[in-house]
Amino acid sequence: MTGRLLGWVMVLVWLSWAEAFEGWLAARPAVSAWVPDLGLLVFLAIGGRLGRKLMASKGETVGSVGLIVAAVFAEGAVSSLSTAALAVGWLVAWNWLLLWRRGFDVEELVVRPLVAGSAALLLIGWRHLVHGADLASELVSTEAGARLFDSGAWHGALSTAVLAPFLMPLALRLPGVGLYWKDR
Amino acid sequence: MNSRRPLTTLLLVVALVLAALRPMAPVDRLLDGLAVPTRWVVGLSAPLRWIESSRTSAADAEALERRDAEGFAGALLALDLRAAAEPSTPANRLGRRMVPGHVSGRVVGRRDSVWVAFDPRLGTLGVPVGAPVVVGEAYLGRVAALEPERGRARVDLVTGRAFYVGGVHETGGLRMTVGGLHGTSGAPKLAVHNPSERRFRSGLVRVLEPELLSDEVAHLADGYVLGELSEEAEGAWAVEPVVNFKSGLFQVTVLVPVSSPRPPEPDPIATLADGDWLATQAVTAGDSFRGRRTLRLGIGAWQGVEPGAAVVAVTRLIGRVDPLHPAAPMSARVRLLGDPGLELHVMARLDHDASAQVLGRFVGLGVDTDGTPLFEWESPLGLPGQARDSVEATLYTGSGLVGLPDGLYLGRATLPCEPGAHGIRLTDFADGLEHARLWVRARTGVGEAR
Repeated sequence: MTGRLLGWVMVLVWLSWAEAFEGWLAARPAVSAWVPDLGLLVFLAIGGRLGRKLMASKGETVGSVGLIVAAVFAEGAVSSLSTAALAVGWLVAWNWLLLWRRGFDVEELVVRPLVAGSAALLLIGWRHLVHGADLASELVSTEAGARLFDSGAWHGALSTAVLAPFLMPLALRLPGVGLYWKDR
Repeated sequence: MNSRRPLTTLLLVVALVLAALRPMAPVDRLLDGLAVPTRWVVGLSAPLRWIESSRTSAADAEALERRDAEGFAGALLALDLRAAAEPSTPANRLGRRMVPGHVSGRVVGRRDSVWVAFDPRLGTLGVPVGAPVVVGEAYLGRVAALEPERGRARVDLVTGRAFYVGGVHETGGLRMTVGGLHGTSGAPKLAVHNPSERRFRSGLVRVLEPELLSDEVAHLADGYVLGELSEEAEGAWAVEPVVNFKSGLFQVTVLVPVSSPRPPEPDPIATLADGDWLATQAVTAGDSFRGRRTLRLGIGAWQGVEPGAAVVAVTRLIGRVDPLHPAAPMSARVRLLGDPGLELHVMARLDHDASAQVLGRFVGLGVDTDGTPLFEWESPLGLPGQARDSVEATLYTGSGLVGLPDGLYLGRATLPCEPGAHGIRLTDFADGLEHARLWVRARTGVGEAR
């Protein structure tokens, strides 16, 4: 139990770092659009490992709630979105991963970019939808929302997909992370 | 697998989707309460702030050097606009006392009513219900209700559907009732009802309350300008107002009888010197949501931070605490200059003639590739009296939004003089991500959360 708790804390630490580093890079307008979703890559890498045996026999995974909570806390620390919006985003990402896991080995080299890129697009779309709803409720110009959509949001999804085969295996080797899925 | 789990998950997702797309303050507070640990999680990324520490220290030092000059210039501009809000013609001053106030926000649920706040040392003392509210020589509306405990009055504007005021053509003879908006599209114009003659003539329409109205306070508005009479399609008449009712109401004057028991107005206190600021610091170095410009403060609702509150680096506004969501218990999200959708009210000091101008509402459009914040400025009246295409100006905040006091330095910009919607680039501004020491407005004045 202590090992798993320690593992969860380490997952939280690395997710927080990934999100904070992502935010730090995204604050530079020249590269902002191309910054990959580093937190998502860590999330998908760990999520792909959770309950592999159970998934094969019973279609179940364990530890998913802890992973989602860690992702919400980590992104919540550096994001402008509300906790509810973040929770929905990570729930969607998790269920998207589960769908892929039912038909594919998500740790395959060719599958990782597809899973990561599509999940990143989903998350970007959801975040824009929430921000658009905020702007509408604020009765401010819709041009502000339109400009956000025009800002090349897909660039981030593309860079996430391209980096997935390299960064996701590295994420699994981060110190302490293995404690979260081992012995489950 | 438990057969109820998918249903529970689905219900949870639906509830969270609703909470995300239709923010409700109690739900936001509950979820932010559950997410309190994020305040400590933020600390994990502190080394990223340390990387920037030399740059932020330099920016803070520069901001301190500019403190006196910029603070004084902002306060002076607010004073100039306050003076400009008082009528200057002797006929409009005679037999009246002028009570200065500032618009502190729109009344929730009433688009044509605003809160007007008075000097907190006098509050609403001596301000009667029904007192006319003007800016310069222009008529705005009348006091509809008082909230003495909060030092403010609810003012119904002449644009309201149920608002009526007597009017007379400047040449005399032609009388009418004015109130509400004419039509729903285009530039807002005031509706004209029951003119005493059918022959149209252009010219100014001034307030002239009916003689039958025996209320002395109502007649204080007589002589103030409603606008220019115009003939619309299908022969209807309207009045083109001379003020921007949508977002150009900052400093106003309430007219009270000379017999009012209100003491003389004390000297105003400069916003930056009124002691209503909390020192804090940023605890994040950017937003993981690309295209957004936000940061988190190390203090939140438990320390007195409220939605919409201004955040400054010494004298310069860097952003506002997210006005749409309650502040988290121990941290607060700040929307920086350059965040898409950030709403500000702006006033300006023009370079070429040093005049003070009310510009109205600016809405953030994001940042340029070089980090310059871009805004959309809807200017229904343009810049009056400017015989040139554009002018250089220094921009400051105006009042009218909750938590955002007037006179805070924003930056420099080139302003087109023509009416219409314009894109504005803000230069020489304070980037919130480059400052370590920040101050947040502790109290959101007397307005309400939007």
